[in-house]
Amino acid sequence: MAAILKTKDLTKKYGNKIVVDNLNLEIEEGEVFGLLGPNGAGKSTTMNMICGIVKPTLGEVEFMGKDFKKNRKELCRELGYIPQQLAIHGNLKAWENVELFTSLYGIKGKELTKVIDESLEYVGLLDKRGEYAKTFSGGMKRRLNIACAIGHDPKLLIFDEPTVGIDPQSRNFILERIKESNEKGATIIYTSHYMEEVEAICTRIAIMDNGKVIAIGTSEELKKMVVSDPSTITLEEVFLTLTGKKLRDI
Amino acid sequence: MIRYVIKNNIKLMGRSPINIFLYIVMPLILIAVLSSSFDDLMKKYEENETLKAGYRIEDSGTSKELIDALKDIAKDNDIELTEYETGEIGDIVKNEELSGFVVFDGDSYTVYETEEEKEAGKAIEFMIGTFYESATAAAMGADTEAVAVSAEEAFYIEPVDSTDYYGIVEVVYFGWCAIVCGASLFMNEKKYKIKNKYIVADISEPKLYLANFIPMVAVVIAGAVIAAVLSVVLFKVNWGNIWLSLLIVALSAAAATAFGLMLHSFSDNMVVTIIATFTIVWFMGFFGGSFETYMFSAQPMSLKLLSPIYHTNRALVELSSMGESRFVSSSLLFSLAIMAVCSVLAILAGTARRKVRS
Repeated sequence: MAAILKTKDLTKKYGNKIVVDNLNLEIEEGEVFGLLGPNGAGKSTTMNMICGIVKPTLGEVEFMGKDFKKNRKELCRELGYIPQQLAIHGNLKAWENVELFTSLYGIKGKELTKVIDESLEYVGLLDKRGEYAKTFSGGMKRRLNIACAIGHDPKLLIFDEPTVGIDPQSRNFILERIKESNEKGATIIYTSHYMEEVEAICTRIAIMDNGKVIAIGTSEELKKMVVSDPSTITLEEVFLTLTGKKLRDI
Repeated sequence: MIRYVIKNNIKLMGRSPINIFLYIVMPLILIAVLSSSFDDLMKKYEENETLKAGYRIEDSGTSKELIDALKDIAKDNDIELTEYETGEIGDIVKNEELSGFVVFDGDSYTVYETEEEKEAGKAIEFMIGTFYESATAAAMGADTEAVAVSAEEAFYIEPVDSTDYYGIVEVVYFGWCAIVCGASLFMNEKKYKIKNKYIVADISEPKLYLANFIPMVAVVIAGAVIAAVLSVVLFKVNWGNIWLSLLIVALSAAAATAFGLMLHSFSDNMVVTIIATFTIVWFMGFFGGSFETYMFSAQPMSLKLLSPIYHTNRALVELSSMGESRFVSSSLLFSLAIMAVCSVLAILAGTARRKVRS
């Protein structure tokens, strides 16, 4: 498989503090790539640099074989970003939220109407299309947040902790949809603090700490880095072994 | 495709009860309150009665040289000034049934008002204040003829009903609070980092600006039009030349929106933006006749002319009362200039902020 996304010496400094340190990642087309790390490890900054929200201090992002910075106009249509925050308007109806954010990628008219219904159906909210987002539960808002980012059918979907604070049913629904998107051909980058989720859906996992990737591989490979028999250890134990048990946000 | 962003932003702003209250209900409340409060003052003028006032010159300062010019100007404006060299001022006012009394002392003057005719006292004070301002402009009275001409121009007062006056100026004033219209939208966008989605989709800063500017102007104008229609229905406010008045109000709202967006772009904080906007707009309204009628306020004309609200108010009030106004062009130009300058600055500040955050 060819790499759909490459980061080359990607670095971000805020003053003297290095948040992301010479990051070199290669994400292959069609994979579900998990990015793990304790708070402050540099995951969100990495995601934001990949999406173009934050400009790198050094290094570059290559997306679909092209320099993302130089070809943003063309390439942004192939990128879907599902932020951790519920980036929706409570005073807009479900379909209006999807219309607003999908239209940003140049989709209009009848095609837009079709895409709105497809996106809402995909996240199980078609029957709620005319209801205001502010009346939705946490899980429904999370699903709507996803619907707003997938309408333009991007090749790369970036999920930044999409299952925070929702019930197991909604979480399961979202994970199923992510798997389905992957099966249809989308490449996924996924961050979460829920290790079992990452283990369940990711084909490859990178663990970041202090701005650097300290381990990368499949779940099995990561476990073998710590113990010889992977069945005797969980991914969470691997994570704690590699990153330490010291609290990070005190 | 910012047309869908514009469409949905209009929905977001239009669905806000705060906006309905601010742009439709509040102007109507203030029209009712202020027009009844200033009714006597405006009626006094409308009735066109000649006011009788006394004066005394305490020494031979500038006032003595200018008194004849001042009396002429006063006469042109239906104020009869009579000199009383001696006697207790209170007794003179009472016995001669005067509306006020002016004591000139050197280069200063004091206006005495009666409790019963406070409005008349204000009119006299305004007339003298305007005269002295013009006199200062004409090199401290060196050319009394020039003083007479400029004073006459400066304080010509059109016969306007208080309801018409406040019916017009309050709609303009609340139009200047346009930034409130987008407040909840901007706060939501900031709280949930919605702007990041626009950045990911590569929406440029000028497009983003338009996606906010157009809906805000549309909603504020819609609110102003509804308030104006209700002012006609409820208070029988006369708007004069409707289409020209609408153009003036629309451009004023557009200027106000650009001004508010610029402040928001600079501060990136809605609370700071609203406090700054309300403070600046209050001063513009204070000098522009939004509270006290501009005809009778004793503020210096130079400050009034700096207020865009003054130009807009004066143009609309004169269109209503006289059918024409030489302030129409200055009002439109002022609004266009503010809109252009503030829009450019807002876009530049937004672009700079994008660079800084990265």
